[in-house]
Amino acid sequence: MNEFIQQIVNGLVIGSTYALLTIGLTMIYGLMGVLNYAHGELYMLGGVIAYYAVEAMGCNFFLSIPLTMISCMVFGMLIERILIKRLYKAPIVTTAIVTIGLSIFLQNTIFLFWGSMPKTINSPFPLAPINLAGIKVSSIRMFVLGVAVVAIVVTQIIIKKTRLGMALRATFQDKDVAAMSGINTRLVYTLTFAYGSMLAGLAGMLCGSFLTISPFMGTQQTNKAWAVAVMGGRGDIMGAIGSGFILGIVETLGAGYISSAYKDAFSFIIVVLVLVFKPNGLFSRNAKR
Amino acid sequence: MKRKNLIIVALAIALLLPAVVKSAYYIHILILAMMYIMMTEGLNLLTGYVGLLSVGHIAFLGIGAYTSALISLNLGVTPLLCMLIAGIVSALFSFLVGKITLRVRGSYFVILTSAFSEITKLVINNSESITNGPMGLRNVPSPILFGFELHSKVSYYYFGLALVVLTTYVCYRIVNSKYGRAFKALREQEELARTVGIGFGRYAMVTVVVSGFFAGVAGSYYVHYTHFISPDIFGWSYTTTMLLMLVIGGKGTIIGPIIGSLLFSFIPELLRAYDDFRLPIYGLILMVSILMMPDGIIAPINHLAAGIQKKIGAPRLKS
Repeated sequence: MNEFIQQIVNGLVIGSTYALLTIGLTMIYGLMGVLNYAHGELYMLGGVIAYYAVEAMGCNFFLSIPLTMISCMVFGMLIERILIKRLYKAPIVTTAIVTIGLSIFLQNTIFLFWGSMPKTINSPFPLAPINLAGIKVSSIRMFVLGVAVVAIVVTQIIIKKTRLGMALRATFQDKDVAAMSGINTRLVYTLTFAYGSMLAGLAGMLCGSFLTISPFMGTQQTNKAWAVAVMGGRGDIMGAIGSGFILGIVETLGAGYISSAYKDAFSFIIVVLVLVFKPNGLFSRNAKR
Repeated sequence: MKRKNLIIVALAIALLLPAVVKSAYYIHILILAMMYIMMTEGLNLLTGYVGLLSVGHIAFLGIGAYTSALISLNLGVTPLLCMLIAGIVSALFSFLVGKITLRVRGSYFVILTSAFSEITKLVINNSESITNGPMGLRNVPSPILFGFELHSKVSYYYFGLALVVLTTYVCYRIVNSKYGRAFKALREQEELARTVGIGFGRYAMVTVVVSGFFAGVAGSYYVHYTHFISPDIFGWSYTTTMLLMLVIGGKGTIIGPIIGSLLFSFIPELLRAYDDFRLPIYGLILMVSILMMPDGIIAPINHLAAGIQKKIGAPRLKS
């Protein structure tokens, strides 16, 4: 029983990073209709930037978190301004190839000075796990879960309570009417992309502190984020958060009890099942196509 | 120049090429280009004519390659027959995948196809008892044609050329049949097409199966040439290369995939001079070229041809 709960807790930790990663992706997809296949690269950049900040420049671990977030936000802003804005009216084929091209470019550019070795960020937390009523969890994982939950809650507050969030929701519902009522929809697009990139970077940094970082880890994360976004339903942020946690738990339980070799297949199997049976997302009421 | 003459000239150049190009390395690139043409012509039916983007098409190439390698190694089936079986097995798989994926459109279709290719990769990677896992399969034999083993590069090039001519001809016939007209109707005006009785599912399925078949044959062609196959074939790079060839060549035309495949078989080789910077540059080329020429290189060529035609009054080069 303890082992089962432990698996669930580990699943929640992984799931929280999936949720962080997917919030941005589903926002970008829902708002701008951009099929972004480079989202995982921001996750990778987050890990890489944090690694260099902590390990190469001796930056404090906790200070490196906002540093990474800001850098990824700036990167996201640049990417949107230079590249993504040209894709808003483009057909899917163009969007897919351009974003895949961006992902190849970023991966291999990072690879030039990173090399192929996977590395991990050393966190200041003790390695010995905390014992909570017989359940052993490492403190870094608990920290990751905590930070991710805070970031998710803050995101919700921004979307629900601030003027920026209101502009975002208005643009999401009807961009023409939003533009007519004086919302700068171009700016909303840029900020959404930047915010999504920031969360992806945060997820990458958090994962990099207890898993490994490598220049090519983004591809799989992109695919998983798409799986979670599909599960959650188009542009549905709450759905993405819920689905992120579900996928995390399914993966850890699946790896523990079914087959660890097929751990990464679960997300794709779920995608297939969801798109066949509930194409509007797991949490949609009607199953109409 | 008439289209017929153009085809004859192109074929003549293709036939004489090995006499001029003595470098084994360039022949090798040409052989791979032949594989890419087979793939992209098939993919073109699906993406260019019906308008469904598949980013998981490499899975069918992989299935074809593995089928061919396994039956020729374990059962001793002659490679030519393997090629046919590989095509059929791939077509069967694509039929099954099509049954599921054709329920959704647009972005969801793209995501589903990539999910399928990832699942295929994981299954092949983990079925070590059959596929030898990440180590791959070795010593796949060369095909024997009329008692003549296609071991040399030049003979394999001609073999590929024959397959390419066949593939292109079949695609040309499909596009200019009632199916081709239905594809165009569905791509341009789906609602209207439906009201006159052209259903999406059936016509889309035909292209899924045909493109799956060609991908399987291309995979078999590849594996009997390299004599080796491993799950590395499922990487993003092959998928993007294929899509790039299709889009830059000009999707929705018969000649486009051929131009694109030849072009992007050689461009990465030219970039080898830049060594480590090769892939970042490749990524940049990908982004810039698609943004600048979303309709492919065929559009400016057509434009140019139209200009010349105005001056000399010759018929226009089209599809």
